[in-house]
Amino acid sequence: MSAVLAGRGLTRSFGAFRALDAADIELQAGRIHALMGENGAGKSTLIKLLGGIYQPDAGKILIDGHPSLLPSPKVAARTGIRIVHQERHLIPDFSVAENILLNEMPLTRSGLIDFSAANRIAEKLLDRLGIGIAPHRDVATLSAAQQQQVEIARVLHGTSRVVILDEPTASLTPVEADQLFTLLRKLAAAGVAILFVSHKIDEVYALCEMATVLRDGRVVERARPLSEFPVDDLVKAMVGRSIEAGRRASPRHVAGPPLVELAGVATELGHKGIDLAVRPGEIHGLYGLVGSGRTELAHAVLGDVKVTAGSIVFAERDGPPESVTEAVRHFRIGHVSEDRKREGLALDQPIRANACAAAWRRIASRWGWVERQNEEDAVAGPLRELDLTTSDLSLAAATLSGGNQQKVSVAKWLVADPRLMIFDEPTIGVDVAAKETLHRHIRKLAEDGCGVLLISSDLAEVITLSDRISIMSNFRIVGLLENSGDYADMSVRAMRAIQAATAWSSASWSHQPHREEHS
Amino acid sequence: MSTWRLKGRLSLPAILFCLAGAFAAAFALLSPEFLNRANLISLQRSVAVELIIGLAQLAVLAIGGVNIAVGATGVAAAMAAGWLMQEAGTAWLLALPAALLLGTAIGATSGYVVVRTRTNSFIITLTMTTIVFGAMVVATKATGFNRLPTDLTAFARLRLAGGYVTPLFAIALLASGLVFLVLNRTVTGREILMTGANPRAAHASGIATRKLVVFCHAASGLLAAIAGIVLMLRNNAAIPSMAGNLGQEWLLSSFIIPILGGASLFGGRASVAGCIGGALLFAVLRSGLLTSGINDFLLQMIFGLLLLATVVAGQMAAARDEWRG
Amino acid sequence: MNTMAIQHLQRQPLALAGLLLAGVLFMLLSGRGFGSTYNLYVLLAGFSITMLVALSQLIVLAIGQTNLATGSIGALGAIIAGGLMQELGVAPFWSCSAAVVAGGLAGAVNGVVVNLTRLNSFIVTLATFAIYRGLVYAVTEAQPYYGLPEGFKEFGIARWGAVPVMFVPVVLILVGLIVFFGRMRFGRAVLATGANQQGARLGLLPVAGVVLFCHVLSGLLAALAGIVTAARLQSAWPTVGDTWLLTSFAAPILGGTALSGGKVSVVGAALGVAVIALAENALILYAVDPYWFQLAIGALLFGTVVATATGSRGTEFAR
Repeated sequence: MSAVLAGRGLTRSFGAFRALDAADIELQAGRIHALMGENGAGKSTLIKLLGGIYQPDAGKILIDGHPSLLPSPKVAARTGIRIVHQERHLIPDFSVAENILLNEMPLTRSGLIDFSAANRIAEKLLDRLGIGIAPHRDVATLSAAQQQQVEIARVLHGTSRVVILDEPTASLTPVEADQLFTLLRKLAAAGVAILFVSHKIDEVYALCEMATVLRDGRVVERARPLSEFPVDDLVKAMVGRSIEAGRRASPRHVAGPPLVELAGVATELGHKGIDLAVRPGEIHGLYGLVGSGRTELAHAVLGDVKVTAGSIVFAERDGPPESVTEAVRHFRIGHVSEDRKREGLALDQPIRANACAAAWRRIASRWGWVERQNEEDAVAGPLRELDLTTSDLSLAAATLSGGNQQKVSVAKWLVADPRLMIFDEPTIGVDVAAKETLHRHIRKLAEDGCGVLLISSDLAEVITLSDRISIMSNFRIVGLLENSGDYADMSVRAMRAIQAATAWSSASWSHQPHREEHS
Repeated sequence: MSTWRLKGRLSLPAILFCLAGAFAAAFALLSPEFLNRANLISLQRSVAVELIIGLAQLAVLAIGGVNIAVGATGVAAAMAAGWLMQEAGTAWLLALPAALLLGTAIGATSGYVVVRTRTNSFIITLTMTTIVFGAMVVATKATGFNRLPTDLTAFARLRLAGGYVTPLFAIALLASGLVFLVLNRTVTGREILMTGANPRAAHASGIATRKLVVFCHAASGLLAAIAGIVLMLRNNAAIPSMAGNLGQEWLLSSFIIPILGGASLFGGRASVAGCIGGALLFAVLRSGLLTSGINDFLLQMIFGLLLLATVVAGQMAAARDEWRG
Repeated sequence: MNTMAIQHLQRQPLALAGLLLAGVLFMLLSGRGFGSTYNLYVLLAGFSITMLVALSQLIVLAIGQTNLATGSIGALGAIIAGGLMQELGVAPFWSCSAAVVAGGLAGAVNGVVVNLTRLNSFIVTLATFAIYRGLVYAVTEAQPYYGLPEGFKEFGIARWGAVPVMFVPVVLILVGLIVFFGRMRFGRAVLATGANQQGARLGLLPVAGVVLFCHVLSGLLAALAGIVTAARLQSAWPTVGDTWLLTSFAAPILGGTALSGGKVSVVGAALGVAVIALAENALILYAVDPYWFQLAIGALLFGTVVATATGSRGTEFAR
């Protein structure tokens, strides 16, 4: 059977960074194919090439065995290749039906849009897919999971032969994910080729027939049937070297009074009854699905989200800080954001300025005077510690690779000398070597007595680094685990805590807390 | 610290100085009057006003905002000074600081409203323009003040450095030096540029971004007021129409000068040296083209094209250097 | 937040309608001849011109952009029409058509530059504002065209009772835009582009075409506003449009159109223009210094922006 869509030797670089190197992939009609790999392995680049969003530097794309060009997403869509992106791309004030049909809204005889006909068409499609959303609702009023269903429906309107889903379960609860899988199986049965992009192993085994694994931009396993692909081999293929680093996990038992203690904290965003304590020198993991409220909780500790009940107490003074400014200057809290581009660095500013951003007030002489030499002296040590070798600190941060950029955003906090560091997805989109350096530094920070709160959806990372792990689900803490350092054991316990909590909450679901998307 | 460096070649301000020099030489060849003392003095006076106008815009561009009210604020401050001195009989030593305070207050108000309402500075300063200008015209009944204290008129007529430098130009250079030091040698300046380049990152680094926005707008208001007073000294009178209806005549030059000098409309890049080069080039071109008989209207068109060419060229350079990922 | 914005869309026009009603009642009872046929005609004629100016801005606000050159394009429209009629003796219809097309081209320049360079529309239209304005003054040498043909002048003053003839095309354009944004595919594509440009692009909408279209239509409407102004003044002045900047933004924003794009209210803008026209008329009837007008509109807009601003904490930044 020939492939509906295939890529041969696909290569794509960004600047000096080769994101994808001679990758091959084949998708067959009616099959669900998993594309796996860690963050930064090249999954997004590959699907953007298949969807006509990027053009390959080398290699070709075959459709039904014929070499084809996909110069734009429009052409790809016309060929029947559709992508459901990780981020939502809906028009908030438009109805569900209009978001699905968009440029194909039905017209009346006078040439005007026929909204009731659109609702009928959308309803039929939604019924067929088993999605229970009224077509006339504005998408702004839908939950994140419902919005994703609308995006899938949009993609399936018309003739779709290939559907690519990029990390579709990142913001879904297990129950919602099951609904999605039912839908995808139905589609496959109807003959659609599906590429399911994920790094969640259990999901892939539950849903897919075969898997292609990417690591550092290369295909390391090509269309291997999952029935003959043991979990251990799959993990090894994905993680490669870094699993060795993972084995070195050596959780410690850090005693002593907490550096920061949250007791019964509720926030304006819907957190309830949060208890959490980080001790000096401890790495405290905070694990949960995207959208479970981890990032938002960090913002509450930083004084950026209003606390409506409970207390946040720091070793020396009562919190929470009134503002991020106060958190940084007086509470000495550092925060490496998950969103490096938007919250981490100012890419067109010099490396030096970025590394000093949280510490200028400490570097400056009296009267707020700063010379370039003061800055260079302050950042030299931390940058050397992070193995950041660059000749010229006056160059814009944008000239650095992704991993080095991440190092600069960590260096910023080393310069500021914090007491509590919050790392939010510190290694997302970072290559393996840089990841190891960052891990080493998070450990060293803790050994030097800094308290660390580590937020990550990468369970392996959390287990590798943490001393204790708090599990978060649906804006609550649903478990506190002493880390045994054993991945298999810990992942089962973490998943069980989340599943128990979701089962409970979906049974007695009264209202859903307001969620902010941080994807 | 100039953040815009053209890899190993001439820096942008240097290019602007050279261009201004080349044009000056060309105009001098075309018409010898261009270099006579009177013209040099008048050239300096216009550089002085344009430079301060450019700095007033630069102060908000640095943090990624705009100030449409530069002209209205400048005129309002000059008119306030004129009224205080001529009608209220206030000594100039009090009247001028009061006018500067008024400009600062207008700017600070804009900045405060911007951060409180989270609305972009364009629309806030646009409404501020009409409120300030309208209030000024209503209060003064659109009549000018042309009897300035003799101290001031004498000061404006002073000639320094062998008769070739006017005190107004010295004021402009002094203001530039001050802005340069704040922007490039202080924590506040560093934090302003970081906020302009990426407000979310600045906020996450503990920088008090909202205070800085108010500070920049206040500084812009202060500089606009200085520009208004310098123009009043140059004209020997405070006139409601000295910056056109609603102060619109300052609008174009306030943007073209810093942007020629490499400032970014999106914040984070602001060069005082570039601003000086931009003001020089702008004033030389205008004076030279006017003396060679090109009318004022065509000139506006030429400067519009120049602005467009500058931003397009800057964008193309940025696109070439872009690092994607 | 989105639901809040939706509420604003409905609340702002309602508040404006209330304000308008109160204003009209007050003026009717004021005994200053507000209700006279001639005064109503003056009011409606003023409304017509300001409406076109406001729509010219609204169409670019719909995609989250701005057009600072509306006034200059208006002047361009007025003097091209005037020049063709007076200097070259071209028939009014063809002169005006040519002027409107020129306005569209001027808008197209804005749109093409924005599309090609991805520059901020603010700086692009600031530059073309100066270019077009300079062109207008250079061509006319700051002199108006007085000798316009009678047919053209007639259009500027013709009326049926209180209804000026020029009111009719303006109402047609208003209705057309309401249908465009509410019931036409391309109009919906404009709103989608304004609300979420990346989403619109991935939803396969012709984003570049939408941007170009909006700038062209903005230019067409601005030129039309300039021509109608010339007809009303019975002469084509190069100063046409000098004072449009504030009103062009004020009316749409008063009516609930978002500066960030994707949310427009044509009815709201019409109510905004009506309030502005009423304020202008009232100041004339009370013989108040016209500068109070600018002050009053500025204050009204200021109040609206402050009142409708989102007060919540979050990660939104403004500079």
